[in-house]
Amino acid sequence: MSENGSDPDVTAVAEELLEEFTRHREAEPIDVPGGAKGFLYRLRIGIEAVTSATGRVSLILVWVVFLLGLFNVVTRYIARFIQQDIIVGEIFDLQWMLFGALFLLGLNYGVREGVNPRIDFWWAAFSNKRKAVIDLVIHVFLFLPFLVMAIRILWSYSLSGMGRSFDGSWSTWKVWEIWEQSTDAGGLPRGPIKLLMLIGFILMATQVVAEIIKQILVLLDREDLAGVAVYEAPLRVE
Amino acid sequence: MMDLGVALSLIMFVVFLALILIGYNVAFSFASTALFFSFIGNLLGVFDPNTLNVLPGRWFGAVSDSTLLAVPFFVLMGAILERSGLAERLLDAIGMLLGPLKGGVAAAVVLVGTLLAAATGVVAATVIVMGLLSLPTMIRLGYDHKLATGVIVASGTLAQLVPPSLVLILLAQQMGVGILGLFAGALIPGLLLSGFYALYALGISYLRPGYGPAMPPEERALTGKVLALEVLFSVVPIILLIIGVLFSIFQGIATPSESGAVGVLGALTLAVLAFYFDKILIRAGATHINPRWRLTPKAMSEAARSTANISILVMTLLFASSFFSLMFLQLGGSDATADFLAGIGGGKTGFVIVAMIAVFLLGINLEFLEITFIVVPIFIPAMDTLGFTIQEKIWFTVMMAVNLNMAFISPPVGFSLFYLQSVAPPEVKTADIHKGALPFMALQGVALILLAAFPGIVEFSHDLFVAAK
Repeated sequence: MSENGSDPDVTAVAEELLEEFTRHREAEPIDVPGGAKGFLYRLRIGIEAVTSATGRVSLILVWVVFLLGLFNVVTRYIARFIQQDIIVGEIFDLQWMLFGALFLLGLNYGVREGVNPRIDFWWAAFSNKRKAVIDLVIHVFLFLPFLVMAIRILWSYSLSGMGRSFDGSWSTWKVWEIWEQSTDAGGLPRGPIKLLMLIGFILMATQVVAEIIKQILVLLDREDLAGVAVYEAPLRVE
Repeated sequence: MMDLGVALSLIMFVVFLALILIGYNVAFSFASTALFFSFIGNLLGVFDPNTLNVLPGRWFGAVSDSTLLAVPFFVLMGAILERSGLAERLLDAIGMLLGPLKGGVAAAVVLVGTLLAAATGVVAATVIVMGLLSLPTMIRLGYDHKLATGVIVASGTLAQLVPPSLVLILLAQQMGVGILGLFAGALIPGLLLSGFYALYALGISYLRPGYGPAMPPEERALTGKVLALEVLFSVVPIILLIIGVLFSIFQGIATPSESGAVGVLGALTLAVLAFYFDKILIRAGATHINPRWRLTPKAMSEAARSTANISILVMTLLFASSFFSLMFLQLGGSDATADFLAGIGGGKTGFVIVAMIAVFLLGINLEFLEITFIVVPIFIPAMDTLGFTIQEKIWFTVMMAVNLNMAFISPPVGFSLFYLQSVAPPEVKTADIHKGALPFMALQGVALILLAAFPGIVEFSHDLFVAAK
């Protein structure tokens, strides 16, 4: 309630503040050295290019899921009105599957953007190096092994959903003839979304590797190459 | 002698808390600790690693859970209203409407906080927007700093309680009570709390001179016809949108995710209409606005980004925490805790008291997501042992949400206080923000005791809104 009513600047300030809460910015490195550091840097940039791409897919899927949700409502309403089933089951399945794709393809993006919260009670006061040590140790010894375990158990789960038989052979090249069908009438096959779970975890693991590279680069005094000059603040969603 | 597995599961919990307290990512802490203890448990012979093969099925269950499909829609609806600047206009209009009353701007903050809570369900955004817009106004008008800051943090935090809120969707999913029932049960308690806040703000301003002075005539930029139009264009449509969304869920016309989809369409429509409303306002003689197209590509992509981020965040946490709770269950921690909680004595009452204290203490440090995903799976077996009905579960969940509200504004570490500090003008002291929260915590405490003493409030709310089947 400023004197002149709604002041457009306030929106801009609020957006900036929210951005500060939610994102970290990347400082461009001045020079890219050769050797191991350069290799690590280029590897990180390569991985993050994939991350950015799947992150963009996620953003687009937000609108697709919305439109599909709307379409679902309209068809349901019309179906009730004309007392005839239209294609409700498929649309509903497609909707949760696309929502699944939205966040599964965004798992790596979420790791990079730091959308997952941290408790910054002590964290905020740590130096960048100490932050890097904490993250590096836990990433390498606990979190990455978890992802490897998850990928291993998802591997057989997802591939059998896609039609691989238990002895490891694929009985036909036409996988869509044998992949797991939905148990619901009019439902869509479950195979592809199960495969996406596997892909999502693999993408997440690649981005965690990129995070580990960032932390190594910070410890090697090359914060500029790590792109973590501004460490991300925690996002609080409530 | 304690069972080895149970001891391990308790150590696992402590290690998890240690990891998140040093600042490691919460979701990753869940998965990391669980993996470490599955390894240790296997070495000590109390855990069979083949059990891990049930994880993909659990994860798939989370992916295909249609309850969670409501998350992106409600987040997107709120994000559109907020990014297109409609939330600000709402605050403006209600402030001008109630400003001439003593304590009126504070009451306006409560009203807007409630509406934004229902529309956006995101605390950070609500507190920041209200802190940027209303706090300077209240200070200029000579409001007591404690009242001004307290009312903003308390009303902004209502987003956790007033449906359709993200917190309630996730609590419903974890508790297994259904979004519909929980929304219905939480509506009257939420409105009750916001009524308490408004009465307190108006009451103390009347009783104590200088707490909340009325807006002097020269401050009232809008009067008469322009004010009426402004309210008609900025306030009424948002109220209608919220009522429409809730009504269609309650009446069983649409599932929560369908209502959410229609709600998004409504928010987009309002953002488009705002431009034409502004033109009408200008024609009616308004000088306070500058008509602009609200639904810019930037606003839309920012809204999609918040939606994607929150969806990714929720699902990452859900994947990781389901591994953690699987380990907790397999090592015997769940049964032991359930036995402990069920055996406190006092039956359901004893359980509710201990559970509420635990939620409050955890809520000071953790946010609702962690609490929902850690604590609820532990509570459920105890609740089943004690024979909680669905009605009682809804009642308990609503109390949890009120409790989390209280934890969220508890000084010195409540999250809402940090959000407000980040946008408060320099003359507002941190101590004022902390002291300002106390009366509102007391009001929340009163609400919590009322709900505990009269479970009928939640039941009444539930039965009032849910169409008889």
